[in-house]
Amino acid sequence: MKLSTLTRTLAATTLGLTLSLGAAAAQEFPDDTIRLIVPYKPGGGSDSIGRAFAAALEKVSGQPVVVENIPGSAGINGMLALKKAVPDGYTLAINGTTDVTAPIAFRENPPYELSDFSCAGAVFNTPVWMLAHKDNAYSDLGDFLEAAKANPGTLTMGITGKISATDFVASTVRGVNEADFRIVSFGGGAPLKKAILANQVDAGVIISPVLLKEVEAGDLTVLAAVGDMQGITYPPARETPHIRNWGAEIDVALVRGILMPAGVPADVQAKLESLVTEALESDTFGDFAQTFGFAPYQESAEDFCGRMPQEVTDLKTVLSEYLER
Amino acid sequence: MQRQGRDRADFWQGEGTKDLLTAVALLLVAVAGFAFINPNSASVYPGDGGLTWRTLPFGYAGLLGLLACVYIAQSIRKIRSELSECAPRPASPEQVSENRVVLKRRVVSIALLVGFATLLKVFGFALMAPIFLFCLFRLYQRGPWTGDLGLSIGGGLALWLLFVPVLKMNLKGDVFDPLTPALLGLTKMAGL
Amino acid sequence: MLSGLLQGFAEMGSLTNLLLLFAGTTLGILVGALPGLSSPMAIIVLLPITFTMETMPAFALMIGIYVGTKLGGSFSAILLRTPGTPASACTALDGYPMAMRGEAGLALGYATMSSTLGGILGWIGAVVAIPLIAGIALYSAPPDIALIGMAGLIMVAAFARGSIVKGLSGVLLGLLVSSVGIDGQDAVMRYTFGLTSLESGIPFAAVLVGIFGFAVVFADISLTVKGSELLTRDVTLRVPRPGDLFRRWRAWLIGSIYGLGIGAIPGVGADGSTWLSYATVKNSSKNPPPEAFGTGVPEGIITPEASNNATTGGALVPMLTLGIPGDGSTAIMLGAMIMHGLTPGVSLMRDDPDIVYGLLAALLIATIFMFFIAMGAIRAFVFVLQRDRNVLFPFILVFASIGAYSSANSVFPVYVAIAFGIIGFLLEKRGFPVVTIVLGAILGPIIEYNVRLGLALSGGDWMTFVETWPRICLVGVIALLLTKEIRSALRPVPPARRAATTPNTANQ
Repeated sequence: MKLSTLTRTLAATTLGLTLSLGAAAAQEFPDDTIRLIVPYKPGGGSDSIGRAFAAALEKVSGQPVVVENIPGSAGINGMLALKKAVPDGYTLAINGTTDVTAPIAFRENPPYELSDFSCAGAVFNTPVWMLAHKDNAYSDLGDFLEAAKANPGTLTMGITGKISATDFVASTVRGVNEADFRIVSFGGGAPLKKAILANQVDAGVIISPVLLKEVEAGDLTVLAAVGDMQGITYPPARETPHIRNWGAEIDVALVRGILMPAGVPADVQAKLESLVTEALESDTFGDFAQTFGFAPYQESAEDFCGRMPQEVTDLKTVLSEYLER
Repeated sequence: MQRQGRDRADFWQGEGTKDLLTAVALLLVAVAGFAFINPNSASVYPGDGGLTWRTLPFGYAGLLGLLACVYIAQSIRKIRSELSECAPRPASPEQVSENRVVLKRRVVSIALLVGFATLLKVFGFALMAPIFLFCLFRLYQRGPWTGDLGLSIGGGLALWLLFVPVLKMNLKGDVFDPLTPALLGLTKMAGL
Repeated sequence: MLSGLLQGFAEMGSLTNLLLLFAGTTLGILVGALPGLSSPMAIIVLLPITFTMETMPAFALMIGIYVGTKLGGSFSAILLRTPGTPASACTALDGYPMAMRGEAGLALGYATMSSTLGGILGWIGAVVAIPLIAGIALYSAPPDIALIGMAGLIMVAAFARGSIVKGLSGVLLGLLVSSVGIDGQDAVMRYTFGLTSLESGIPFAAVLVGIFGFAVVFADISLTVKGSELLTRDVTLRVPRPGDLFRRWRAWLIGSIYGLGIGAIPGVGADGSTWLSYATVKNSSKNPPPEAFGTGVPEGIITPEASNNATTGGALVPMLTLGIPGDGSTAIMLGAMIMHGLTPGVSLMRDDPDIVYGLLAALLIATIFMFFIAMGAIRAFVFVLQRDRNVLFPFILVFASIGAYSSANSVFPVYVAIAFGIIGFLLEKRGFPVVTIVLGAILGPIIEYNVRLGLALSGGDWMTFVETWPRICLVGVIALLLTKEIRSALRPVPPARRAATTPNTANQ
């Protein structure tokens, strides 16, 4: 054969093979390693959840699931990496709705849009809660507010960061009750956790179930919850009063779920949704949830994604009404 | 001693001049520290205790500027004293060519590094590492090119094995990387 | 507690666990010696494998790696001037000159022995004073940490001797570098130029890889041209006698104390303790004189290596008793605990004391293993790491690049590392002690974050920095250090002392 004919034949064969392989791949999703992006540093709370979920997903899908930590910018770096990934269903990310929507709500030039992503389902729904050290002898948020009224300007409430979920809660509670206490930003969950434990702040707002063990041991008191606590593994904590008892009509929870880049084929998306549900119901993940402190939360991909546009609007409202500017 | 004044070339070689350039660079950094702190000044939360987000960086930049000025003064003094000295003994030809080789190797190494970093996620580690290694071996004149080839392919493969199947890093190229999937398939067959 | 410890040793003493400790420590030394690879990386990789194992064996492996990397890093620091891990960056200051003199075996021997000694002392201190260490970890408030940071900053001046202008400029550059990113208190972007990659700050791992990895390679490229027979071909591979080590008790004692104390305080960074102890020992050293440090004195190796292994005890205690991680590796180990069904925190001691004591036992056993493995492997390391530079350098460049890449799984840190490599190299040629840049970058966030947080907690009241006795003591220390520095800066170095810094004195 002449060289050009040989080349053409080779090209055609390769093309044919690739196409048929590609078609076959879609039918047997998944048949390759799945990548789960965790937009946070290794060792943190979200990282543990991501790794536990990856282990569970590996069991139910039969394919290896590798966790990739892409930290930075409160999760933005990881989401940008997800946005750029090929939408073939083999790249996923785990993140919370608030962390995804906050950049869109607060930045003039958001780094991404909601339309850049699609969802595969929820994993956890953990409300924010307010804790205090037992030495302060507050039995609930009301005691704290009374103490704040009696000593204006002296009490401190710690939050994880300015313009964050915890900031909303603290600012709203303060604004609605016109109480005079200082809100102190710790720039991260880990330093705040340590400060609450060491009683260096009079109260702290943090995502549940962080510090659950200390609550169970009685070292810390739960002052109030900002959402549905029914899933927590410690029954007395389920009765925690909601902050709406003190006038704050907001629900702030971190709903973590699995996200994908937009444009994943519909059948792959459906398969992923069912895999996520299966993983949630697996024993591996159930055991993890027991230790973690909260029951897994199942929500369809549609509902999970559907939360976010409303959340963007809510965030913008809360920001304009209650946050210092 | 005969007084041979320094000429242009010596001026640029002089220690004092290099010091001066460095000092000016530092001064520019200090100025940048004031100018570029936050182009679109956002949030104006009052700082506690008089410290805001501007205070410390401006303090650093200010001190750096002061020190840079001191450094400029020192280097000018050095230049003056060098100018009044005899010209330094011209470097021997071997010295000159050696310095040239070192300079070339440094510049090309940096260029290769930048190229490696840029193309790493484009073509994948499996392809780029052997190429990078080979270029560097050739640059440093390690030995015969056949040895370089073997070492770079072997070394690249070993490194790839360490980073991708074992450490499970994501070093696949985004644009055109046929090697990584092929190699992964091979390792899977080998049972890793 | 003693019975608990004995129980822990019994558990760790099983053959499987001992084998895993051995394997982990060896792996740790290897990983540590390769520039760019670090302990957190190795532990993360093994996490999925450890899920299939029982808890104790899994942690035996992880603790082995953790301990091994603290020593491994010094091997490449001594032989190549590029530290394998950030914790060993300080060891290169005296380790490399010693190796260049042909005493590589001596240097590596000192590193191994003092790492082991520091690890053992740190362990004893941690176990004996568990409540004290836990108390330090828990109750250290932002003002305390800020004051420690300031004391550290003044000690950095020890590295600026010779040219105050250049040394201080380096520190300020480091401080400016650390200011890049979102401000922790006010959520304002500083120096980010609109790049989201810069919002979390300039990746510190990249700065280290750049200044201690790339810059060194760029500088030492001149060695590839000369191709001279380096004096490092130490054929005899003499190792130090135990007496030589014990005689220098100030070095390892101070190093161990710093490592234990600073390792316990979360947020200060265990690696910083090496620099602080080096500075302290250098400043207060009578014989050898302070000027000799940096030319290859054993104390310059002993103190940072003792310090970085002592931090393992200091970091492990808060991790086990409070669930508060002291550094990256312990943070991952905490995550691993959750995966194994344990809940780290104050209740761990109560619910699973055998785990706590088992891990403590593992730490000591791993440290002892590390000694034997390293002493046995010195010859092998010297052989491998003393290959021709033009073979080693390309590999080092690849390792360092991938190391920088892996810190954020993106190429951005690699660019940062290259940039700092060039900056570090150029500045070093001009006589800047680039160490000060790194120290400024380490201490900057510690000081600024904690000063502002302390003020936020006290409502803007500066008196909070002298509110408690520990703080008053720290302020006193700072004032003392400051006066010492100013006095020695104003006093010229007597010429007689300069003659004393000959290699002979360092050979004892």
